[in-house]
Amino acid sequence: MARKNRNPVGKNVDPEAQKKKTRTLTLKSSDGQEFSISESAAVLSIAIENMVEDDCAGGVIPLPLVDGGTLARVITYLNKHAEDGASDEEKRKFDEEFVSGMEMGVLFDVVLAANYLDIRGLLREVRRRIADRMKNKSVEWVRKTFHIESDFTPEEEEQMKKEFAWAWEGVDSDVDD
Amino acid sequence: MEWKKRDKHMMEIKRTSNLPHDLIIEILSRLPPKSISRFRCVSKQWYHLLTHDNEFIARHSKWSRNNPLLLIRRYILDENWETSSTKATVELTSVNLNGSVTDKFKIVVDGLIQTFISCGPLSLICCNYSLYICNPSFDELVRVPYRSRIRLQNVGIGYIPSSNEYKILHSFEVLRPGDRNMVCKVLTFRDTGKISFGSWRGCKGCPRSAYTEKSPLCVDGNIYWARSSGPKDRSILSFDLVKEDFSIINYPSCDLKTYSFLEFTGIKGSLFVVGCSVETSTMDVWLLDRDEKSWVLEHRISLFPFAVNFLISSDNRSEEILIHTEQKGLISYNVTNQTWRRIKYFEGVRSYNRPCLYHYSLSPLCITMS
Repeated sequence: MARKNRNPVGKNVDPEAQKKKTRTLTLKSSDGQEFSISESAAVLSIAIENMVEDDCAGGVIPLPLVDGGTLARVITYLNKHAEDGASDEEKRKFDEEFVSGMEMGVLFDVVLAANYLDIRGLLREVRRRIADRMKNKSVEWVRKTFHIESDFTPEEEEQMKKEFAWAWEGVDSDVDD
Repeated sequence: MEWKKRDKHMMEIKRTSNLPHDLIIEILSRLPPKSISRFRCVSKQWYHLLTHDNEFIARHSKWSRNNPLLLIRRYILDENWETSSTKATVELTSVNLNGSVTDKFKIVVDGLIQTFISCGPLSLICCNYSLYICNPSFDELVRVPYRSRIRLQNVGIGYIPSSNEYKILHSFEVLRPGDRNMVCKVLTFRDTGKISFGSWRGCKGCPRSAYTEKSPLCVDGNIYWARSSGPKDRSILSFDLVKEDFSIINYPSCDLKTYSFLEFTGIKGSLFVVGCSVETSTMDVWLLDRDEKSWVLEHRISLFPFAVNFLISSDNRSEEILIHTEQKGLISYNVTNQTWRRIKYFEGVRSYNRPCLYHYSLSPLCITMS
């Protein structure tokens, strides 16, 4: 996943990299909130990096598909990952804690934002977390969470449950943890 | 915090909108097979996606192969157990490489397990006179037809992707007056739909005195055994699964005595022999060249101060060597980046209870999908 102009931290200090650290960008959320962020952190998002390269920088970068709450979270993530001297172990720990307290709805918002902004690491982390939360849940929980109406008749559903009875073993309660 | 209030509000708005199809596929392809079977019930669209969508099946398969699981066995000796018992209850635990238990189930087999190896999503479990195929993704155990009174030793399993077939090999020694001969039998089976076994048939050309030391390993269409007929005559016995023909490969021509023990593993689709030295805490990683004639010393890894206990052989295309060390539990070494990763130790992994590595599969052995 090496990007063409991402500089390894600490090695051969590139004047361009230094500039990126000091230069700040302003990101504007769908509900009009503005956030400043260093360029070096912002370009961890491939989408923002492309906008910067296309010279939309200098002014304000509007992100009409991300609301303020979600953008604040994404920026926390970006800042940590752009931090000088943060070891991989530290980042892993941060990622773990970053997503662990989020409710499903928040995870969905963050995964959508990470997808839209093309932040690969965050996308991977949140997808994994959503799958982890889902895996022991009931069919009803999934329908509710993903807003899906069942189009099976009760008979059809009963038949499938019988066929794959073992798949219903060890299902958690529907409490969203 | 003001955010909390806002989030609740935003969540209600967003929750009515669905995630893009591609994201849904990405998330669902990270689920274990049991969950996928259950979620087929969510809706007709999900049923189709989880059963027939080629994109989903391909992504699930790719993710599963990149995220193998350890299968660990433990005998259950409950109050009903007697020493005269001919059956043994074994608890199988699946552990992912982050150290979390993903599944646990019990099987009953005919006595103690002699061979416990894996091939892709399946595991081959072998007692003295009984043979089983286990599919841990669906907690399944199927008995392989075997009626002979010959003890099952030297049993191996391999997979041929081109024909989607598995082959089980059993070689044994036949003693006749004045003659010792090795005989090899092969059994073919498929796991698509309902598992169906062929019948055991003879296979020619099994080399004489092919005593094998350790569990065999299937890499890229060949089964490899460590073979020895005396302390000075050691080599690798290889079986080509498609041609059904045996060949002998010599070990790297270095001084093998410097190694405490040798282990096999598959890395990126090739056979690697790893020479471990307990005295110097080093591991030499030898790659078998494609033409099967020469060896290349790919890496010399210093493990100091840790001592290698054993390797957990991988048969997939991973880039990692799984090393069980005396002090640190499991370590994974990535041969491409040459980096270490510590895997959370799971107490079930012990030197006398070598686990095997498998990956998830979406096709059960006994239940046919409509």
